[in-house]
Amino acid sequence: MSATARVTTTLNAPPDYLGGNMFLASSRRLPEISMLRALAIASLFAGITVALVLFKADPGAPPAAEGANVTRSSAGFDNLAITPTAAVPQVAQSVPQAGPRIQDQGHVASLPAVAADVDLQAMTRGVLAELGVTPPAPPPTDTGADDPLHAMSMAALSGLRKMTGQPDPAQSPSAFQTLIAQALQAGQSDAYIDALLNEAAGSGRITVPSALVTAEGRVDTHVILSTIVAQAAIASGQDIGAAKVSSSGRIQPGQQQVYTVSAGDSLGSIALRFYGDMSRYNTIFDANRTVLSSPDSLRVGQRLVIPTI
Amino acid sequence: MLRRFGLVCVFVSFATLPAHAESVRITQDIEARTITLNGAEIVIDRIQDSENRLEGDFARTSRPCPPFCITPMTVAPGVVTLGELEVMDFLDASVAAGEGLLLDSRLPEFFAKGTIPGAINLPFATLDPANPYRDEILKALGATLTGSDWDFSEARQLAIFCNGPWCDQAPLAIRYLLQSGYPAEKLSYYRGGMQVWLQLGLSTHTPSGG
Repeated sequence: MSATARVTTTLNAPPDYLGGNMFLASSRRLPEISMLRALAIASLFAGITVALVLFKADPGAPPAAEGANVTRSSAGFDNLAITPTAAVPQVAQSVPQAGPRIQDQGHVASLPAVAADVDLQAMTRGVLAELGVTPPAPPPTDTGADDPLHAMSMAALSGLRKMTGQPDPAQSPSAFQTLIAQALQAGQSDAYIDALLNEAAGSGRITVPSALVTAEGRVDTHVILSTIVAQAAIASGQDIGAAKVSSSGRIQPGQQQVYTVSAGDSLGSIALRFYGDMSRYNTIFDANRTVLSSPDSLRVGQRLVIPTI
Repeated sequence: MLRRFGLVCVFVSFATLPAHAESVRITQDIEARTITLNGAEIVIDRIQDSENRLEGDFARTSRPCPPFCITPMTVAPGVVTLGELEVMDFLDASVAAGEGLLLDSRLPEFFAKGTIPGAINLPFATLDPANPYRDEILKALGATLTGSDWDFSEARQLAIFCNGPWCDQAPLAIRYLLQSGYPAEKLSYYRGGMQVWLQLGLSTHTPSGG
């Protein structure tokens, strides 16, 4: 029953938003996204059918059916429950290909500057907090070596902020976080959220973290949503997200790679691809300061060094 | 008459002796310092038991060097070295006014066991340029980043200490900060550190959860 409701919202969502020239920008991306959607819906249906069959065959097995829905806990978040199972791996695969992305130079100039940058990890946690999901602990990394450093840095930051009265980005949601959270709560589609974020960034209403600006100067909605979904999955006890997202591209220890920036890449999506964590974008930025003046200054065809961590 | 005089003498010495024995002041004029930080009052005074002695780790004299080597009085050009009274003045004037921060550069487990009242923990390792989160820390100290250029004009005055004159963590933290461009005139070094603070029986604060 709830599955039908979700599918309807998803299909209806893109035409809801026809805001002037924004539609022109986003409509050209729609074929790719609706294909992903269709795949997602198809696999969801298959999953539910299988679950229902199993459920009928064995009345003593409801937990199996429940396991398929990752984020059941909050009602407003229901629509997102579709994505963890199907969309996350697809989103990740589409990042490296990035073929159908359009070269929309019109948006480049209007994106906000780096000065008011935010911590990506804090941003993800902030969105999740607004959605009523308990933000998960920082995702475990393969290296493990700098985990104490991360913990120590975060503890030091919270101590400093408490003393200096600075707001903790994770606790005071930015307009950017609020916008994403509201759109997700309203059950909007990825395409809608993408158009919404780009429109808001273009008009200067929100500040976009510089690592989430693609080589074309657009907001990297794909990587934002896939990270939020993955973190939400972890928060609800399913460890499917972060690990799978990056397994394809992750670099091996002792090996330093060179990556050529494709259309649609942002520093965040590259960090997610190689390290499984978009908040590691600074590692890549630091290693490429000679060619990058800021995290949002990627250009298609640039060659970036991806350091081993 | 003589007897009465003797009685008075005994009485006077009786009355004054205990007061002398119990008074361990910070200076002749100052018994204790009361400082208000973020709405909370902290009091710094000294242990009043004049027979009190240090025990445990801070009673040791001969830690192996390296790594526990004696630090210079001046850690870097332009970085002022403080004594205990100056640390208290710094808390009272700079930290209380929201312009400065007293930083304990030791690792969290040391900080948790006891620190100078009003200090916050900023482990030296977090200031290492190799720490991916260092930029966030510099920003929390009031620095701003434009492109790849740091602006420290609004950054806080910092007074930094660690375990004492045999501890290189505060000097290291200061070197890291100078490397990042933090102006030397905004940095100061409390060389005595926990060793001398405890040696003088000054108040310590044990952070909650430690």
